[in-house]
Amino acid sequence: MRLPGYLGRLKTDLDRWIAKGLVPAENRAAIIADAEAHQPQHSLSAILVILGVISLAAGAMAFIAANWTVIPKIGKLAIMFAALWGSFALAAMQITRGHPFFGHAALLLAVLLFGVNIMLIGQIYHIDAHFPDGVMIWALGALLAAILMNSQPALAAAMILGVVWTVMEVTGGGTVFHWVYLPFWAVTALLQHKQRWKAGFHLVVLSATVWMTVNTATLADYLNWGSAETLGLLTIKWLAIWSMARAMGEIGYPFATGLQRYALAFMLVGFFLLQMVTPERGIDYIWLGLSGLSGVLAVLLLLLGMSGRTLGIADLPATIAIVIAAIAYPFATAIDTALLGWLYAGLFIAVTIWLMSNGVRFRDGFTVNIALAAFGVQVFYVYVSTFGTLLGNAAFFITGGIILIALAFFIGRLSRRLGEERARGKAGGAP
Amino acid sequence: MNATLRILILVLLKTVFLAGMIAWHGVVLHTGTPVLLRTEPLDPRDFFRGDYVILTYEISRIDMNGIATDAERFRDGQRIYVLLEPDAEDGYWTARAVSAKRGRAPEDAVWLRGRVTHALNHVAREPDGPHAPAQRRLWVAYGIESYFVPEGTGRDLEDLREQQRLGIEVAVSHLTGRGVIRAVLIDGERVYEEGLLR
Repeated sequence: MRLPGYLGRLKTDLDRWIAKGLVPAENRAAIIADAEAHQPQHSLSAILVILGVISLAAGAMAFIAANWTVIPKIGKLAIMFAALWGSFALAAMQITRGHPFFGHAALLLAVLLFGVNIMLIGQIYHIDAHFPDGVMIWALGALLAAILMNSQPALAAAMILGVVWTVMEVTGGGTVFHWVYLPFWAVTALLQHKQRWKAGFHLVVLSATVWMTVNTATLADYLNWGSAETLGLLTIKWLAIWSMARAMGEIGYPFATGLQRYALAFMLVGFFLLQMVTPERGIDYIWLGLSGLSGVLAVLLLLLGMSGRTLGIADLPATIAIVIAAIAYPFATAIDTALLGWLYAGLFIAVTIWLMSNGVRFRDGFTVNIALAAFGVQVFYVYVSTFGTLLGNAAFFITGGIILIALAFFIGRLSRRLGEERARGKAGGAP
Repeated sequence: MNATLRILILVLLKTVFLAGMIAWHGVVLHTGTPVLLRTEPLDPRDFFRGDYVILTYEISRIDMNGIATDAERFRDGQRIYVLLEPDAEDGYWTARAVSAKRGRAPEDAVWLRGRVTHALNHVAREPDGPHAPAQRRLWVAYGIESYFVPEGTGRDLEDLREQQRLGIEVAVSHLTGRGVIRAVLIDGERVYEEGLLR
């Protein structure tokens, strides 16, 4: 996706490449013209049209809420079907006349009106059915439109409605593990992959995140798990997904980097929050089984994704350490709370240092930055929760300073080593 | 397959679904067994919310003592069937049995389909313990808990309800046990009657 500053950056880069002789100067104008021609034409129109469509659908819903009595039921039904058919007809007309953008906007309106009509029929006939079922039908209708018309707006609507459906189903009571959502999600993910739709990828990951979090929390509630078990399991799951993303990157999945970044961020959040809850219970075999399985998956996928060439010396021990820590933490009731806090803080900092080295090795700025941020947050947390006296603060700042300098030295060495390896590679004719 | 044909498929499928909703409602409305239910608002202030009425029935909360059942316990969200029989004195129907499966209903009785919204399955371990057998209760939703009213008429109905008895006539499907609202009665008199297209 081209950002507003893309052309500016391109011009700067082109000037540098021309100065270095990488690009012939006479090609500059043609490259700029091509880039300008391929800028998104409808960015503002797209936002306005989508807002218009949502506004129309909201208006239709308000119309229902008014429950107007002047029109008989048959009149209401006629309006309802006319609106649905009209928006489909408009979509067909626009698409066949070569205006796919407006065609898909009209299709989105039809998708939204389908849900409005379900609610309207519910109102007309006083049907107070299981509400998530209605949302599910709505989401399936949107998905069908996305499949048949290869429509990104319809797919986005399907993904959002799918999340609403699963959250309502799980939080509404009665459903402990809403596995029925998984096939639906898988189809949306396949469609997104087929369309190579970058914004859709974020929706795919976020919808899976919501599903996984809500279902883990409900399962935890049902099986009487504590917060430590819930956070521990989520941390290991995200670690497994991070490893999986590495493996998917190896086989050329185009969104592997994005998935890896999401997984890393969520894993760090879970792992960080874990230390804030108190371990309070004994062994739960279901939890142990699920966590152990996720941990084994995390390690296996890591080995699969990082072949001997890319597997760093600390990758395997670090992954295993996170899994063991997340599994052991909920059972650490016998250990003194202060000692446990220190042990955990040390481990968390070690993990952030490993991630920094990992980021430097793979030249991944995101991993380095998020690891640095996590390091800072952890240090701040230790400061807030452990120290209070002036002497304590002094000890903290001196220790923190030494750690930071050591860290800088460590990263500097890593960077130098990386530079030397690259230089050797060039000298040896390696790519 | 061109775009128009694909859109036609979408139109057809969605129209069939929506028309099916209406048709199925019509079938139950016209062929279902009429059942008269007494309403029991829990909190009069919450009785009318916006422009629809929240209806709570006597059978929305079932005290399982004295009710025949084939299940040890019920869970939240479970689909159940409640056997209703008319009261000889006032004609209102009351719950006689609860089952996880819809069996054959005796004459002058009907199985109404519902979903457990909350199940209290506590059985006392001590004679005077906190979990007495009397606490075995089910809260059930039947899909007939909302009645949409014309804008601004909710308060009038509420006043009427304060003075007289409010009853709901429900049509219960012979095939599925699903109930749909057929009429609203105030003191035995029909004030709203539901048709399919009027």
